[in-house]
Amino acid sequence: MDLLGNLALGFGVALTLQNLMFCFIGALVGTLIGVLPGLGPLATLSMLLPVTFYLPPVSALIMLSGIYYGAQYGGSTTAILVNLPGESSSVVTCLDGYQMARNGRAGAALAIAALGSLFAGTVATLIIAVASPALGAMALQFLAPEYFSLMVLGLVGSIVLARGSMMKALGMAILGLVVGLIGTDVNSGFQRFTFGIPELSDGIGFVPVAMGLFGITEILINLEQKTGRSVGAVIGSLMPTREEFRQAIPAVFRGTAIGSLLGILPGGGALLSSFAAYALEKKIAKDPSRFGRGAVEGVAAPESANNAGAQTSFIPLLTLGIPSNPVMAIMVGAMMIHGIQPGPQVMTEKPDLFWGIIASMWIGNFMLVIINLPLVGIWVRLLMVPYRLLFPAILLLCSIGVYGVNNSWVEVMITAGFGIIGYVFYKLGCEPAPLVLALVLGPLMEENLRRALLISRGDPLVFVQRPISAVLLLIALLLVIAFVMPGLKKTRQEAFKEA
Amino acid sequence: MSILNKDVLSGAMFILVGATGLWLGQDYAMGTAFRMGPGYFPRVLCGFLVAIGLFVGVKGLIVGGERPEGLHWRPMIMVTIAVLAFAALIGNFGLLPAAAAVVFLGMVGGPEFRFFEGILLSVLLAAAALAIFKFGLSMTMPILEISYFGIRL
Repeated sequence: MDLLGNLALGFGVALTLQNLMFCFIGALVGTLIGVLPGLGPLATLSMLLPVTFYLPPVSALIMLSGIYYGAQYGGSTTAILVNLPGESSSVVTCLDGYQMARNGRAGAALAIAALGSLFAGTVATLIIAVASPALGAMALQFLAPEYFSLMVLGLVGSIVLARGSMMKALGMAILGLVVGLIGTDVNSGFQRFTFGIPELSDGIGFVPVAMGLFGITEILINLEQKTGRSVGAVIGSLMPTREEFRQAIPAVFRGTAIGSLLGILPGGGALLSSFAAYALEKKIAKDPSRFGRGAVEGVAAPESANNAGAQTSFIPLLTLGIPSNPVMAIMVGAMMIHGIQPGPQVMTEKPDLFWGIIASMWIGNFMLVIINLPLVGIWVRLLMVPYRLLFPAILLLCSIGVYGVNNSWVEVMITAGFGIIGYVFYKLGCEPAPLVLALVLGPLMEENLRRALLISRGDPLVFVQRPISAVLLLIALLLVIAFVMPGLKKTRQEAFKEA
Repeated sequence: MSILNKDVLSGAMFILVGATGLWLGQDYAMGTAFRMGPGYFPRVLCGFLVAIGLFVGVKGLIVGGERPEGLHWRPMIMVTIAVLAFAALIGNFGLLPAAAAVVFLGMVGGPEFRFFEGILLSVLLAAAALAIFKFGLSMTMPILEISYFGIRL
């Protein structure tokens, strides 16, 4: 069978000693940094991006995927043990995970999170392996109009799924598109908004913006609080009881299903998946009042969901070459640096790379369980380092990380600027994720829009006359309508209010 | 409740950026939909941004909302200065001074700053950065460079 042959090829690549090692290092370093407060997957990835420049492409991407899962996973450890989400998608894990820890079940909560994630990761990997070739075949028929509509859908997705006011999220997305305009116009070579500064003619890089908005801003927010942290509880036995297993298993299934689905959605990913999974568990539970007091489902479902979502969000990237969230945008950056143009052709032209990454996802998930459960004591100790000694190190890592991408001190300055901008956004309740995604998609969108209208001789109907493009736009429209409708609007607000 | 609530300020921010973009881009060639000039996309986007800003801002004025919490100036300014110092030092003076500066200046903005602890940590972390990034990953940047004394490592 084709699928088995492809997976065998993938495992052949991923199981070489070198790639296994990079997968392990990635997962380990990702966990290490993900455990630190205020450093989510995005900041971790952009910080460590330069590190992978010196590796062969397959190893580099395998290591980056490992870092991603590691950072994702490290966040839940801190959520359970110290009630501190290491990153935003483990915010909901705090609710019941920390309560379990206070009830003396920290070990069980960690084990359930780890095993649920492993299961979800396995399912999601299989989904990627099955769905990618089909989607990739479809993507080969994509022309400029389809790409444009797809990116519109992605942006709309990130707007309706953002937290807080939808109008503000729309404003942030447009703001990102405007920032993306800075630099040389591809079609005419005209300099836009560069103020004659030569460093700006290539545009504002994605890494400095993301690092400023997510790395530096987080530090500023964390520095507002003066209180120290304390580890909540002893970890206790890692083995969940029979009763806990009974409650966790169906929740893991549901979480995996939700996460896999929402991860594929443009604009979706780990964050939304975990919120949606938690909301569902609470809704279908016989006794919703158990939630917030250490309900096992409240850990199992969101943790499975965010891992499944984290993984299936690779699908649009691997098949269409379109990043569906900021983390995937970093992956695009990494691929381009290694001379790989993401898109449907990667699958056919570089099957070893494509299937190698997919196989390494599963291996990475497995390693995470090994890294996390026995070593959890080390992560806890790391958390006891006071923040006033920790944040200078994070600041240093961010600076070197940005500088390392292009050896450009201007980009370090841009990072500092976006740190303040992100701090202001935070104060104003404006979500930065749509901006970052729009910044990446903006230049691509403009190019494809102009190309599409050139093909159609300026007729904008081209976007609805081509069937695939029309369907994509229709989905985007339905998404907007669905979320503006009063009923769903309320659900959306409630889902996010859990935090 | 306040006139200067989060929504009003967010709206003002969108309007400001959009209007600046329109003003800066007023000379960019517009072109037609068939053959768009470099000014087409900027003008459409900035116009849209102003419109959203008006919507968000007016809604904030009518509905009201909470006032944003104040900025914490000390960490904000010191962290920014720290990163800018890194940017200024890394190219001309090398990794060691840049790393030490970002760590020390950042710590000045942090809670419970102690002078000797700051010196100690900046030396330690600069050494660690040197070991990891220069020797471990062989990134291309000077270690220490003071051209006045002719030092270059």
